[in-house]
Order: sequence, then C-alpha cells, then structure tokens
Amino acid sequence: MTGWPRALRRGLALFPAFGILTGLFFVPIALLFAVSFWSVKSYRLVPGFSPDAYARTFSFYGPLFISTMLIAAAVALLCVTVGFVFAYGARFRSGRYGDLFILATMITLFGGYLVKIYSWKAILSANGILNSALIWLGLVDAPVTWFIFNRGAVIVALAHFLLPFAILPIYSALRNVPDITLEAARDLGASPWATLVRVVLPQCKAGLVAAFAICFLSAAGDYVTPMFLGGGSGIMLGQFIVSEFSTRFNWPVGAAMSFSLMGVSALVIAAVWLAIVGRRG
Amino acid sequence: MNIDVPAGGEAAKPPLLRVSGVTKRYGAAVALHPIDLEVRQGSFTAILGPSGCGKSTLLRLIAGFAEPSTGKVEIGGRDVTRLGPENRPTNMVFQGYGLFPHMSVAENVGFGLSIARRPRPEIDQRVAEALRLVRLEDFASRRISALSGGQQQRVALARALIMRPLILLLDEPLAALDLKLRQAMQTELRRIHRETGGTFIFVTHDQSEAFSLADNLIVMNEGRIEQAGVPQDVYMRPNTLFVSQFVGDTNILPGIRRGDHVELALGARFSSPGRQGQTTFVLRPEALRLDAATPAGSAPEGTALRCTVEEMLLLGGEARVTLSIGNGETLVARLSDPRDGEAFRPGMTVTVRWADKALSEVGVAA
Ligand SMILES: Nc1ncnc2c1ncn2[C@@H]1O[C@H](COP(=O)(O)OP(=O)(O)OP(=O)(O)O)[C@@H](O)[C@H]1O
Ligand SMILES: [Mg+2]
Repeated sequence: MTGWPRALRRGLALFPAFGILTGLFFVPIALLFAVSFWSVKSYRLVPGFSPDAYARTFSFYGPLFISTMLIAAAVALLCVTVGFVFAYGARFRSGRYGDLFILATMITLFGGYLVKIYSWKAILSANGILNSALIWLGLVDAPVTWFIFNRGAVIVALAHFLLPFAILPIYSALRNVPDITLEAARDLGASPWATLVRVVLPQCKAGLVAAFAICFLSAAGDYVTPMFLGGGSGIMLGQFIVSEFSTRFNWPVGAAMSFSLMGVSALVIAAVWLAIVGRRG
Repeated sequence: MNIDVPAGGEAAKPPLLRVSGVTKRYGAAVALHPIDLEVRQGSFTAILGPSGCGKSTLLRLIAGFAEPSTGKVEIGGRDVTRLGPENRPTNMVFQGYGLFPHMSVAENVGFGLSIARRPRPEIDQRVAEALRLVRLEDFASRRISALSGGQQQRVALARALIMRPLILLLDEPLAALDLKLRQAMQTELRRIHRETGGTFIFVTHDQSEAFSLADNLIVMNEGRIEQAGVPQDVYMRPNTLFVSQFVGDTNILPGIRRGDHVELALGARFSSPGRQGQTTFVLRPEALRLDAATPAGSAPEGTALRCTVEEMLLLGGEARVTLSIGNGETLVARLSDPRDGEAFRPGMTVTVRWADKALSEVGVAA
C-alpha cells in the first residue's frame, strides 16, 4: 500500500542493526586507520598522510613482528593438535557423553584469563610447584629458572587459555562427519590411522582452519600473557603497541602497528586456508 | 589362531557362508536368538523381516562390525568370528551409502584398492571397469554432492564390488529410492549379480523387492529365522502364520482335525491326516476362483462354497473381492484381471472355489 519497493523497505528494516555495527565497530577502526598516517610533533597529533609510522613498524619492530607471528603460530598449532585429540575423543570415543565433555571445557572459560596466567606463574616460577616437585624428587638441586619468563611459558599459557576456542569448531566439524563413512572405510580395509588421515581429517578441514584462525588471531594480539610470563624485555608486538599508545603517546605508530598486525595475520590465515581447504571445485 | 582347518569328511561343496548358533544381546535385550544359516556360492539371498527384527544386526555380524555373543561365523570354511570387517572377504553397501563427501566418484570407488596399495594403473583400470558395471562411466570426476540418490547408490555399489568380495552385503540398498527408481535398480542389481557371478546377501523389509531379486529367502521375526528357502516355496508353503502374513496377503482359516479330515470354521471339510485337534490353515487370495453361475457342491480336488460379495475394490492391475460366508466368516479373493472383478457387485451371491493343495497348515494360531 505504501508503494515502496520491497528492497527499500528491507533496507530500512536493516538500518538499526547496520547503524550500530557501523557506529561501534567501523567508525573507530576507520578513525584509527586514518591516525596511522598522521604524525606526532612535540606530543601533539598532526593530521596528514605519511607512511612514516608503517616504515618505523617494519624497520624498528621487524624482528618482533616475526617473533610474534611465530609464537601465535605455535600456540595455534598446539591448540589445533590438542583440541583435535580432545574433540575426536569426545566425538568418537565417549558415546553419549561427548557433548558433556565439551560443555566441561567451556566451563573452564569462566575462570577467566588472569586466573590462568597466575596459575601458570605459580607452576613455573623459581619457587613454584614444578620446581618444588623436582627438588623434592631429587631431580634437580637448585630451582630451574628457565621455566618462566620466556617464549615457551607464554606459548604454554596462551595455548591453555585458547584451547576451548579450538575444541569448539573442531568438535562441531567432527559432529558432521557421518559414522558410516568411518565404517565404510574400515569395511574397505582402512586401518584406524588411514581412516583418520584419509576420511576424518579431510571432512573436518574447515573446522581445523577455523580453530587455527581463532587461536592465531587471539594469540597474535595478546599482550597480557607475555607481560606476566614473557620476561622484562618484551617478546610480543602487543606489548609495544600498548606502550606506543600509552607511555610514548605515539598514536600513529601504535595504530600502524595494529593495522600491520591485522593485515599480516589475515594474510597468514588466508594462506593456511588456501593450503588446507583450497578452492572449492 | 582362529582359523579352522576345514574338516576332511565334509560334503563335496560346503556352503560359502555358514552361521551357526549365533546370538546377539545388547545388555539384557536379545537382538538375535540362536541363528543357523547357510548361503551357497553364487546365490542372491534376501533377509526379509519387519523393522527391528534384527536384520541389520545379522548383516553386521556377517560383515564383522559386531561380534556375536555366542556362535560362529564361517566364510569359505574359515572361522571369521573374531575378525573385523577390514579382514573379512566381505564388503558392504550401507543403508545411507556412507560415501566419502570429500572425494570424487572415482576416488570413492578406488578407495579400497588405494588402501590396499595397488599400483595406480591397476586402480584406474578397475575403477573404470566398476563404473562401467554400474553405468556411471561419465560421472568419474563428479563430486558426491552433485549426484542423485540413485547415482549415489550405484557409487556405493561400485565401491564395494571393486574389492571383489566373496560376499557382497547390502543393507536396505534401495530403501531411499522412489518406486520407479527402485524397480530400475532391482533390474540393475539382477544384471550385476549375473555379470559378476558373486554372492549377494541383502536386507529388506519390502517383500516385493525380496521376491523380485532373491533366489534364496530368509524370513526373520523378533530375532529369529522363521523360514528359509526358495522364495516361491516360502510363499506357497509358509511354515508359520507370521510368514504367511508377512509374505503377501493371506486368508487365515482356523479348523479342527478329526481323524483324517479337517473341518474349517467357515464350513468346508477336506481330507488331511495329521495331529488331531485345533489347527490353522492359510490360503492365498489369488488361489480363490469366483464364479457367478455354477452352484455350490464339492468340486473335484477342492472346495466350493456359496457366499455373498461384500466389497469389491479395483486396485489398478488387480481386483480384490471381500466375500462373506454365511456364518460370519470372510474371505478375500484376488483377481489378477480387474475386468473379471467388474462382474461382481456387492450383494451378489457367487461361488468361491479353491484346490485343497492351495491350503498350507501353519499349526495352532497364537
Ligand atoms: N547398538 C545397539 N544397542 C542396543 N540395541 C540395539 C543396538 N543395535 C540394535 N539394537 C536392537 O536390536 C534390535 C534389532 O535391530 P536391527 O537394527 O538389527 O533391526 P532391523 O531389522 O535392521 O530393523 P530396520 O528394518 O528398522 O533397520 C532392535 O530392537 C534394536 O533396538
Ligand atoms: Mg536395519
């Protein structure tokens, strides 16, 4: 009766949701993107269009960039591997209790993030649980100091925190693998290993890549875990993004680092997706 | 270590498959009561029974997906009871096909050979052969998701046949297809069975499918084999009331045997020696002849009764006439030519006759 074309009415109906998304998400990001081309003169932001911030990101922070990507990749690989083993067990070896196990892993998320970091600190530090146990067992004489304040500790703690986020997509992918495809493989002579590699894994590739992406992105952007467990000098880019924004008040460099991190992470994930899932055809 | 040496003094040609004393229980529930079963090389065997009677369970025990609670499964004289499906000379076509969705048609079909590490040229050649057998030559590189149900069915068939199993097991292979396609696939299955010369065992709850395909019929009910044999024999001479009812329609005629004669409740009397007292006979509807003209009386080798037409249904290719005998009993007759049926209107008085040898005794009805 209004005579408005359908598409227009539908567009108007979408407007509130779209407005919120734009206001809360795209506008701040766009602003920050603009800032990344500005510069700072005596603690004041000067609008402009200069690539200096990006140049500094890649020259000064280059090695840290690589280190961050490697840590994130290690965390993501660890999560995908352990997550797959866990999800596989819940899907194929737990009968009706599979969903319950998955729920249990989700509950560990309620503990929060800092709790996990502090518990790893309590385990790995010089007078921590691990060292006490080793000394009590007589395996070492003095506390081992290299358990903490290094990349290894950060990788372990991040993987521990992110594991449930890997399990979820992998489990849901495995749920879509029909049981009879496994039976068919067995009937055709496939060993359990061959069935895993040739029938199960290929059917849940998308879930594995999704898990990798979630863990990789979360790990790459993290700055709290390395702050507590990574040692004083800083091992991840996130820590320096924080300091560029806060202590140094260099927003352009902080913003440029953020966008570089996003861009490179997106490239890594796209490469992984192409390599594993490939083009549909 | 479970391999038996075939006994020396056995019959000249032992059956390819022998199932002896096999039972299966799930906890307290009994899925299969002791089953004994033999299948000869080259036969096309149908396991027919209602839903939940244990058909799939029996098939899975033969395939090796489940271990029997007691009893023994032998294939080609070898005890395979403890072997898994990967070590048995059987292959299975699953009810939902179980095709690998991430592989092409050719990859699906070649999977078993590639697992067995056959050389590439051999795999390619045998895949092409198997696809030709199921008439899917042009679909080799298709994705599974781009196939119709009937085509998926053929891929599943080719994937199992390419392994050249001693026994091909099919679990309700055509259940998901519509009537037309099902009939076409029945023809295909018969042809494939003939061309491969293999031994096929298939499960179905559709009796017409069992009759159109099998040369050996096993009727199951509630975890037991009720009757096994040549389909036509099972149809003509059912051993039990269940078989007579499950395999086609039937008239159930209770009666009493006195001396060498049986008196049926509906009023017929005929000569039949046997156990005295209560008994039950069954009579196929198509064994009844209807006649509007001739009067009642004892026909040679048979019975003739006056009765009234109660209802006449024309069912496409046949007519079904319900008759009421004076004393409240009814009979159903099937006329294979519906034009014959048009002559009979409800209320008409007609003569129904049958040959005594068309009656099968099934014992006392429960
Ligand atoms: N894994 C199992 N655990 C417990 N009971 C089972 C299991 N598998 C089958 N049963 C039971 O065993 C009986 C036989 O099942 P089966 O699947 O062999 O029936 P079926 O004849 O193939 O029926 P349908 O025609 O519906 O496929 C059923 O009562 C079923 O509930
Ligand atoms: Mg079944």
